[in-house]
Amino acid sequence: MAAIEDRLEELFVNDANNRRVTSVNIPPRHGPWRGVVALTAVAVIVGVVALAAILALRGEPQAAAPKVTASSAPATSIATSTPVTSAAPIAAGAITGELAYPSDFIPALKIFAISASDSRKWYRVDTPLSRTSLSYVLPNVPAGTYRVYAYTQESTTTNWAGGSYTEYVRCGMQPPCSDHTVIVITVSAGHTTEGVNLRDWYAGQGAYPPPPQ
Amino acid sequence: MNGVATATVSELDERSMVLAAQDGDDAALEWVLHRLGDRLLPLALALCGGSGDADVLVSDSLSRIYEHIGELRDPDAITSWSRRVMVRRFIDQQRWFRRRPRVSIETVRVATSLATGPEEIDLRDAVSRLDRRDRALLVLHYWQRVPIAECARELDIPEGTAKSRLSAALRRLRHELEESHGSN
Repeated sequence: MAAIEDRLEELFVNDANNRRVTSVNIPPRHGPWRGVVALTAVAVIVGVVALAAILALRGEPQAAAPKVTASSAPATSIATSTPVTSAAPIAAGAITGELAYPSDFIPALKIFAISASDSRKWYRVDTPLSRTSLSYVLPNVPAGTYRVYAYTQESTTTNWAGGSYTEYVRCGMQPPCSDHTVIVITVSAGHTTEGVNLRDWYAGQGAYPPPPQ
Repeated sequence: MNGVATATVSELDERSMVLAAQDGDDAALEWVLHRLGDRLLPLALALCGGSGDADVLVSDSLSRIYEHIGELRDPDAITSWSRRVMVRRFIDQQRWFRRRPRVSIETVRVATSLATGPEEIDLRDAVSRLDRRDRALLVLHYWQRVPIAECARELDIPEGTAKSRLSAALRRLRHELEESHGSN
């Protein structure tokens, strides 16, 4: 048997070469609108503060004061009104959970989050074969609602084996649980939706859609 | 050779692109981040055992590089700096999801012969059970051939600690594999 150092190197090389980058999405650092918006916000705040000060000096009722407090509001509304371009940061979150498979190992899987509102939109991550419990992370999933499925790597659109996060999983996968309805999960920007455990491989033929191509 | 320092065209390109990116050139920054993404993903995959976590780790690391590239004093050190950024973030996984990554990557699976024999699977299991810092040490030293002293710097630990952790990790792996073979 080879020395453990050599076997480690082989293992790392194998893992390292199993994916490659297809694109890197980068937001612009100094969008032309950002400066204009920031200057406008400063001008609005300065104007409101000045107006409040003038009114206070004139002995007007203190009702002017809330205007000063409210001057922070434009900053919020300005931030949301910043033009959004395709290069802007994606309002994305992530999905994580555990994987299971009806065997003493978990085969290499392809995991899909399929948009509940438009099944043509999906996000995928692959996991390697494992003999222990395995979790997955689906990063950079745009905010929205999804159904999540795991398929064996060999699955095709005509012949597939799939698992999912269903009411059966949530119920505990014990009698009298029998509902295999796939649960729609929600992804929020900047948050990780956890516990989407893809354990239900028992829903029966045709219960899950074929893997997207 | 006349004593003048030599550099390949790509090294010169990279240095000038890093300088331009630091100077606020978005196109240069994009070029640099693409290049770093290509370089960091294999390391991330080795650290994460080939799992999808690698994408999150690279996105998070590139986001940090995107935000702090202006603070890098030596543009020639971009590779070692970015590797250090990523290894440290790998060790502290809690940081990954603390906020939305500003830079994201998309990857595609490449057909490789995934190690599927029982011995490879046992080794993968044993490595996955190691402390993250030890896993990073193994990847850096035995795969990337990073000298121990540099591994120690990257992990922010004394060199002696890196040496002892490395040998302890190897001992533990050997022990676990022997046990596993004994039980089979």
